Amino acid sequence: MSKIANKRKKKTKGKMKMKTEKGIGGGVFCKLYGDTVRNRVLEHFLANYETDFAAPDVAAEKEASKPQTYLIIEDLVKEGILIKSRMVGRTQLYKLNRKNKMSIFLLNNFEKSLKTVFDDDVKENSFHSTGSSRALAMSAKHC
Amino acid sequence: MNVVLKQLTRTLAAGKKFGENHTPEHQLLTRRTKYMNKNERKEFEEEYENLIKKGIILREKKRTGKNADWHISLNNHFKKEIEEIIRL
Repeated sequence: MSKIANKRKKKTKGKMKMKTEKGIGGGVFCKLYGDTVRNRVLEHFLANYETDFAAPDVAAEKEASKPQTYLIIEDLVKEGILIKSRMVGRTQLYKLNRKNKMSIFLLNNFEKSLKTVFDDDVKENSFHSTGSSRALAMSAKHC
Repeated sequence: MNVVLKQLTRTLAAGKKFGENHTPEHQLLTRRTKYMNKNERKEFEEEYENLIKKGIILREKKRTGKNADWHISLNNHFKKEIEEIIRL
């Protein structure tokens, strides 16, 4: 090993990596519409549409980076899905804009995605893409 | 029921945190109770403890990298009651 690499190794030996608590990450909404950071942020505000949150709290809960969440929230505010609610000290809090048509549409979709968690009958009635056509063909033959 | 508690159960349900699929409790609660008044926080804590007593929210101490932390998850046996709490 070179001398520089050995020096670097010695410096990092004594440092303890601070372990941060894990968040929840993506949920049912992200599984349906894609597990991206934007969808995670949207899901957070849809699930908690009654109250307002700061960007760092959203980033920590959804296991995303702070700069990325700030950018996404700015885009969502420009689109009108989120609004700035209040300032607490120097932190800006954001909230879902319930007067926007897009946010109402997203809320309805989120509600339907939540129901899939509780519906046990979904698995029984679901058609698998590979077997559905065969099943229909077999049933048609017998009839 | 307290609005923040509804949201908490909704986020746990959306993340499919049932039974052994649990999350740490401390940061989850602090993020939501940061900007609340004293009275609101008291109400939230009382109703939160009621839900734990009923068994809807499971709270156990789990071993983590450092020592042990309190983790929470929803109870599978109370799905109907959770669904009523969560309604948008």
